[in-house]
Amino acid sequence: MTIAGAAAAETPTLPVRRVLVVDDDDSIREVAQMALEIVGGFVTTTASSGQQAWDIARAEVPDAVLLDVMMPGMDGPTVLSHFRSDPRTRDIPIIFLTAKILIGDPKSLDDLDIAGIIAKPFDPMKLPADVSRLLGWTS
Amino acid sequence: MSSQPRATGQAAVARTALDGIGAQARRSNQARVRQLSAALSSLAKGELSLLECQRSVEVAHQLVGSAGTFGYARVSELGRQLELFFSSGARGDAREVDAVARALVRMQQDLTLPAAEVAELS
Repeated sequence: MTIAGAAAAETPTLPVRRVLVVDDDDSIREVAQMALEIVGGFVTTTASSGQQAWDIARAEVPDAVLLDVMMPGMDGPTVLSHFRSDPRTRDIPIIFLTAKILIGDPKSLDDLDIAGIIAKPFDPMKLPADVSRLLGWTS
Repeated sequence: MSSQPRATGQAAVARTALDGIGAQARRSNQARVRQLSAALSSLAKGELSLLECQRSVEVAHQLVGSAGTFGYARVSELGRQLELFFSSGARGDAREVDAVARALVRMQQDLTLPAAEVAELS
């Protein structure tokens, strides 16, 4: 083994986390992407609709999905049910990103089979930490 | 070497990017407020269709999330008020309709200013 190789073996490399950001609002999608990439160091893909998210997820199988709830066409809960019914996407953790008032209802969280909820409005600078906390991702 | 300078540099880059996206979001939110004002005008004329009312719920909902995220907390709070108003079918009495109209004016005023200035005023 080379010196560089030995050093690399001793230095744990952090896994690159791939997050799919889904929101029909351009600005929210862009700010979430910016925060997750620049502040959090994640790799992101974005989708502007539930259908597009479903198509991307089956092809790329991201490590997690940040999913808007209220979207025209296929809304968040519908996207979630698609994910859970397909073996390729069944185990991908999903975080709802929503301005709807759902927080504080643990029963609905259990029923939804999601990793958590991040309420809109949100602080972009804190978004990566919130995502990591909900998913149990540590650096 | 401390990671602090790198973290600070990343935060600065993120803040710059955030400002750029925020300017775009402000224009979108101004358009949303205009759309809601048009819906209220339709209501005043007795011409608010079910479709326009439903669309107004969606627009107000987007305002709640977007305005607050980009520093317009009051616009976000008023957006919630409008979302509730339109989701109940816009059937409020004259006093409630007047409150919605005043909320829209306040939202328009706030969105003419940069977020930092609005935060200082409120």
